[in-house]
Amino acid sequence: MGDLPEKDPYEVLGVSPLATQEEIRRAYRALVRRYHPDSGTEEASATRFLEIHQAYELLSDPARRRAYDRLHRERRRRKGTSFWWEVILSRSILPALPEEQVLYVLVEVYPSKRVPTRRVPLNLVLVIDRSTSMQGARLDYVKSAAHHIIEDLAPQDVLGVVAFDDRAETIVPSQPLTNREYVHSKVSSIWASGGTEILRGLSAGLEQLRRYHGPDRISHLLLLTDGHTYGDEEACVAEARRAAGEGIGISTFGIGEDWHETFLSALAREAGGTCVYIADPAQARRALRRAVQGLCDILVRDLWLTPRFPAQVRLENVFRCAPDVERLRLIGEEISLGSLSVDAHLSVLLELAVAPMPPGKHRLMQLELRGLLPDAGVEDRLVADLEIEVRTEVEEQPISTAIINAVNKVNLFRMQERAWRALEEGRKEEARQQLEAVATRLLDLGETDLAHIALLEAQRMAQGEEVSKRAKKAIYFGTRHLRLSEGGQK
Amino acid sequence: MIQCPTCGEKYRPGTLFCSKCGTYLPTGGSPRTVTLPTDRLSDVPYTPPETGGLEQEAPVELRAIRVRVLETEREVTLPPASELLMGRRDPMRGIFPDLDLTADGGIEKGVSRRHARILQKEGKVFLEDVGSANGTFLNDQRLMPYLPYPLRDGDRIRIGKLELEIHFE
Repeated sequence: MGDLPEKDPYEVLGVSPLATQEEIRRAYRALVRRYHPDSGTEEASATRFLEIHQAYELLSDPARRRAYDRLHRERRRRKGTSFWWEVILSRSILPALPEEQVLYVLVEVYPSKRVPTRRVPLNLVLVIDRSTSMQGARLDYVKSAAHHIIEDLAPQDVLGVVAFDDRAETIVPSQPLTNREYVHSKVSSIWASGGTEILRGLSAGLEQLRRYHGPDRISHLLLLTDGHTYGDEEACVAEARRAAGEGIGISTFGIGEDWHETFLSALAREAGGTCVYIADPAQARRALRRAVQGLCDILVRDLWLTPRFPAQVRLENVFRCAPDVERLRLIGEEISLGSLSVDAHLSVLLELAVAPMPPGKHRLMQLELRGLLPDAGVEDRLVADLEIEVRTEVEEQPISTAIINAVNKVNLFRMQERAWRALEEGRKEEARQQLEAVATRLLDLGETDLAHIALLEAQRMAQGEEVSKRAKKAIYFGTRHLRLSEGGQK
Repeated sequence: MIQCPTCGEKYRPGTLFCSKCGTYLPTGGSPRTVTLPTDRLSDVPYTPPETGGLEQEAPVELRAIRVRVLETEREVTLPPASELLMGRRDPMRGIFPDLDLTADGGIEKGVSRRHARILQKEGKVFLEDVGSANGTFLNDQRLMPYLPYPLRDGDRIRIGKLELEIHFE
């Protein structure tokens, strides 16, 4: 059988190439019920049924499935995927120890040199905080930023605008940008009043986004706010997670000092976007335009990393360490990585705990990375099986510089997290010492400006003064965007 | 369990950095070079010997340099190069000395990450301290930092408290 079937049988059955025989059988049964010509459903179709049956025949026969997988891999290799990766372990040989050990796995994802066939249309919604605190310069700058975005977008792009205080109002229902004048006039009509309830704005914004959402678009919500929201944080994060599951991204922009950095970061993280600190409202235009430009450059969206482990291995922490540091979370058994831009690289650090194992070769984990190519409407997938060896006698092994840099970067972020946690829990002396340690590390890395901010805060703490919100944000976001020597061979 | 040499926090084996103080754990940390008590180090400024000095034998091509660490009896031949750095490797900060003295007890002996360099110019060999914490000594005399001193075959130098013998190949 030299020829491949016209359609990917895995796609036809809607299962992963890693699916077990049982999963394949289940998927087949469900499809048969839907599409069998005698089923009496609306979808009944003889051709579709034949396709499903042929796919099942192929995949249920282990020999034919193996042959197909081999040919398919070969074809893919020649064609190449739209993204590529490099997986690096901190150690590939472990000493046989009676206790648990830590192992780091660095996953570097690069776009392949492939220019998208066309710029994928955007589906954007701006969600603007118009609470009383935004009155004046803040709202003016944000409105001006919105006017620029309206001009930057192309007619096939879709834009919606929602303003919120303790209620949400859809200022511009999502629509293709054919009547810019109308959108401009509506944005100009936003006035400040009321409190801040982010959930209302978020829900109304997502509702507009869903109207035009599809696999061939980049759908993204841009939330601009300057304040705390009260009591609806968890519901907001849950909304963001739901949006991520649908392939919708969220980016958040915090203006000034009075917003909660961990909350807005979490919101963006759950939906694979970024959180941007706008210290001076005059920067709003630049920040927003840069974000929209970034969305135009997206090559792959809905990137999900799925790590699978044998019983002896446990995932302890996951961090994104480039383009910026962010603590990532498992959703089910997957990790949302957001999207990959044409000229960027993405790197993820997994921290594993490995239980004692007898000498010999062992499975460490299987990694699967999949992502959607919006310009072609197809999904690409990479899979790797990683092994480690356990030996009784181990010579010291050199550790890859990429791993050291990545762990160092993430560690600095964790050190400052630790300082703020100590402060929140009232352990002031510990917080001060921790901040000093952060300053020392920053100095070592040549980040003198940031180091001085941290040192100054440590001194203020020593004198019993309150920590400045501005300094805290500078350190929180500064340590996330540290350049260090970027990992990877790019 | 392994312990952070700087702050004493405990970690599972394989952990790379201390999350409390930021120390790099596998090499026993990349702690800052500890300043050794000065009474054991000679602070007499170096005066060049009357003979020799800058007048060496006829100018030659770059030489390979053989270094013997007296304490550990380790011998390393460094390739011919116009500049060779001696110190302690620190991948984190991108410091990779041509002669890495970590394995010779560099930290305990007060060797800085960037300690001293051997320079070759017009067939002559020089030793220069590059602002180390504990100083560089040539035949028991302390060098002024950042000033190259002529080096001769068979000279003994001291990097912090590590004694090295230099031979030209």
